[in-house]
Amino acid sequence: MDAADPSMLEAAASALVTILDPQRLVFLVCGVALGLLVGILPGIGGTAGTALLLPFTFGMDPATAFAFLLGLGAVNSIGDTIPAVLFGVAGGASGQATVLDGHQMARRGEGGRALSAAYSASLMGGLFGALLLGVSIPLFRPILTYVQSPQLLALSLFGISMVALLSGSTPLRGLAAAGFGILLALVGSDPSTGTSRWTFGTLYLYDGLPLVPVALGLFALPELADLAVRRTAFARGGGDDVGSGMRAGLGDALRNWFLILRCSWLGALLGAIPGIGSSVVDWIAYGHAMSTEKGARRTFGTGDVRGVIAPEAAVCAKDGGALVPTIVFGVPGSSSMAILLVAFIAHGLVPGPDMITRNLEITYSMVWSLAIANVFGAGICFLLSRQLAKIALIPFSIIIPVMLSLIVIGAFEGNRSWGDLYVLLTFGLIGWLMKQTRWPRPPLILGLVLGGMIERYLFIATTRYGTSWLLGPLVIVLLTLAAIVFLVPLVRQIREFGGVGTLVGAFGRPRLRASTLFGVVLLAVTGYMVSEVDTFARRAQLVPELVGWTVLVVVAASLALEAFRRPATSGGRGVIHMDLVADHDGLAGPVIGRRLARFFVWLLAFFAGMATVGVFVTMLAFIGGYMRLENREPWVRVLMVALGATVFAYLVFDRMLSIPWPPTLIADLVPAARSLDLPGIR
Amino acid sequence: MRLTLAGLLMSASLTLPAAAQTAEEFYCDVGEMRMVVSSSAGGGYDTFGRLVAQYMSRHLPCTPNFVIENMPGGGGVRAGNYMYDSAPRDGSTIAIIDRGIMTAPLLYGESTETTFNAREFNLLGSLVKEIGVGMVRSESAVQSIEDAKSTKAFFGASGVETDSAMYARLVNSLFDAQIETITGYAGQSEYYLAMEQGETDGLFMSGFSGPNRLQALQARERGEVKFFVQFAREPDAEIGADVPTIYELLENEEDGQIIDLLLSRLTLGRPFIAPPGVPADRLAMLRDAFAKTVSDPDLLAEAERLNFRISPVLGEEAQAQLAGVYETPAPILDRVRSIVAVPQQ
Repeated sequence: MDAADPSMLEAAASALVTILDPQRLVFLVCGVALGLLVGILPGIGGTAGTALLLPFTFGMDPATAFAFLLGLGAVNSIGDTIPAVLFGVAGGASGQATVLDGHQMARRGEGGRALSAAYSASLMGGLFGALLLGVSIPLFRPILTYVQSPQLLALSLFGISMVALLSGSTPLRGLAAAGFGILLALVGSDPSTGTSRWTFGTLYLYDGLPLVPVALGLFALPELADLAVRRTAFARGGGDDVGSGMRAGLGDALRNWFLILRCSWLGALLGAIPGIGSSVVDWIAYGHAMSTEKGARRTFGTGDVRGVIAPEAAVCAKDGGALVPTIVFGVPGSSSMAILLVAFIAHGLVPGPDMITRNLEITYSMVWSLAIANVFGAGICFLLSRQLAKIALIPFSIIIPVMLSLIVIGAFEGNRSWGDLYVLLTFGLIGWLMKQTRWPRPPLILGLVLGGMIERYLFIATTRYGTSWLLGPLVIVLLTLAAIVFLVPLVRQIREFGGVGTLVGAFGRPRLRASTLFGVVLLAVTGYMVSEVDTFARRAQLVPELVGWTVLVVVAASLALEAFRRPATSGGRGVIHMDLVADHDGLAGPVIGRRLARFFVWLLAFFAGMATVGVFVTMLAFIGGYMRLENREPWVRVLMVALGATVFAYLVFDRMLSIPWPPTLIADLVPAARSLDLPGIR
Repeated sequence: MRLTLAGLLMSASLTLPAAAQTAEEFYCDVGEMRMVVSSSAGGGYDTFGRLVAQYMSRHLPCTPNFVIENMPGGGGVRAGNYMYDSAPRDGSTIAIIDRGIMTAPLLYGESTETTFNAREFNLLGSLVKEIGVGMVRSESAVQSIEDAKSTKAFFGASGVETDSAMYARLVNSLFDAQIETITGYAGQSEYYLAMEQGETDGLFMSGFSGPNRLQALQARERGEVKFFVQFAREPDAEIGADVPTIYELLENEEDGQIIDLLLSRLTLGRPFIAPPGVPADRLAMLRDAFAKTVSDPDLLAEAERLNFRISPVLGEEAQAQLAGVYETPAPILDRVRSIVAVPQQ
């Protein structure tokens, strides 16, 4: 089949006409508006929203139904950009890579430019992604039939090889963090033996660590903690060069069109692989941009606009890719695609060869829906970026309690149980320690997402093919690429130190630094995990043991290097640290400590309140209390913000999403409280 | 603050249930009904749960609204424990729950995390009686159980504890077949794809109402897939009488009892339950409402459009079915346990 097959063009054209029907467009735009709204809220991905709206689409014709659902799903990551750039707190698991450069830009007053560059990149990325999808439709089935477990394994390994790039000036630490992430991915019931690994006998960990609370803990909580220490608005100075910022952002995107093209195709390709979610796609695009763009290795992480453009383009193109396996094989490429699959059946569509022959027009209508949704979504945000950028000027005493409440509720979306909050808190501490002591966090997420896939496909491939799986041509190519991506930065790093000789020669008297703290913690935790491996079924021991020992060796090496290296040679010259760095505006140590302690107490108070009187009463009191006690905000404002945020959260999370809140103490002590039907009290 | 507390206590005393509230009054006052779903949004159980919630409301007094609460975890164990330990027992909360966990305490005993006595749950019924199907790719060397006795075949599954893997152990044990289960696929769609791709030879679908049913039926029409056994008492209309039932293939009488036990599990379908201890009049009302729901023409029309198979089991029948499973004679139970048990490796 040829891409320029006339019948294909015909189908594509008539699908476009179908989608441009005004009534369908209205539904598409409604979906887009809802998607943007849920995208701004931390933790709430498109999945919950899509599930909610699904029943309403049963009465529509297929093209309208998919326009509506895809509109919602496609722009979710666009809404995410706002908190990522302005607060340095990405709403979901995606958008974390945008934070690195986007937030730096916002902090030096270029929030408007960062946002408009991000939206322009999203728009173009979404279009390029849809274009690739549209052109390659006839090739879907043959290509995907070829991609079996060995190829997926090689792809996952290629993904994990990105850690070397994403570790910046601290390759050993990055490697250790990635290994630790893989270990965390293996927590839970092992599919091939049924053994429970590191679950401590809890049902919660049986299904593994949920990604959302981990990501929110690692990235969002530390950011809020540091804001609580700085006690300023996020942006410095007044406002932004907004008008020119918007033009500049658009110009940035246009100038970097080729980068956007590459990243969006990368995003679309990765999106087509089930299991590789948006939480990894953004980092891989970021790593790709850093290794291919001129001078990027020195400027990424310091507010380089290309560091915003690359992940945004990739994440926006990903949905197009995720549609592919859903359409042609019925294997959902992402969790919201799983819900789309239900809509498929409801409209009498069966995924499979029919979708690219008899139902080709519907397939094309989906491609168009995605493209148009991106245009609308990014367009709306682009036009609003002047207003949105001002959000960064909101004082810390409003941002902290409101964001914290939303993050806690968002984390609760993970498995909807108390365990999510423990995970959030634990990874908040880990993330904060890592940020303080300059351990890169992105590799940990990469390991967590890909670790499970690697083990699963490794077992499938070896059970089915023995070792011959290594001989497939695509496998060889991918593994070679992985080796290059992994080794080149490491070798370059060593060379920049002046070779192994200098590295060893630089050793001096042992010195202990505060920054070794996290290494020691990691060593202890990993040591414990490795010591538990004996209790697993034999097959379930292999990967944890291998990865566990690697982590131990690497952490030990990293600690030794730090302890013995003379200060003069520490840090590679000109290579940036690939993560945010704690920045306390030169505050004195005791002040920082005091403020951190206060923040921690507030955090615990929120959890305690939630356990006692339920989430909404707590939220109201918490936001009000924080604003009054931390910054003496006027009562009128306190009431407005606290009430407004609480009512909003109540409407979205309780009325719309009906999240099952955990039981509260008050309801246990005074059973009458339960019959009051107060929101959040159970 | 004191004011609020006083108000709280006052209104609480007002809404305390009157002693002689009838079931009808209860459902008129309940405000909201809750439907707990033991999986996350989007799956088969979720879709069935939402479908019933949508239509059951009109068959209860004063048409109370249903709120769906997804409570995934441990393959349904978490929702089961919740329904037994903490859910209100006043008849305001019902659940659709993974059928496996209803018999998990019996078959897996100590090794499960379940805290409930499944027989104490009040079953409302199910929209479907499930059946199981074994299928292979037409190009595979193995086209029947007979073939699998002499030729090794790879079948896909997500985990060793799933029904798909368990059926393979069952067939191997009863017929001395050589099916090797490859576990680790993320879900049925993934190991179905693996069969299409030729990575595996086939698979066992437990519950032929899942999302891949239509795909499989169409693939069979195209001649790409062959169904070689059905786990059902009588041949299923959709699958056809030319596909042998497992009973027809059995080589000795006693094995039939093993299949009986496992099939009763399947017959529970996708069970809807109420917690133990729901007042008898309310339970009767719930069961009655469920019975009316499953024959509601609007629900049936919707189900047909969704391409769902509807073959309902009602509350009392399901309850008897479950009780029967728990009364299986010890020797049979031991054999079943040894088959379903996950081999230690």
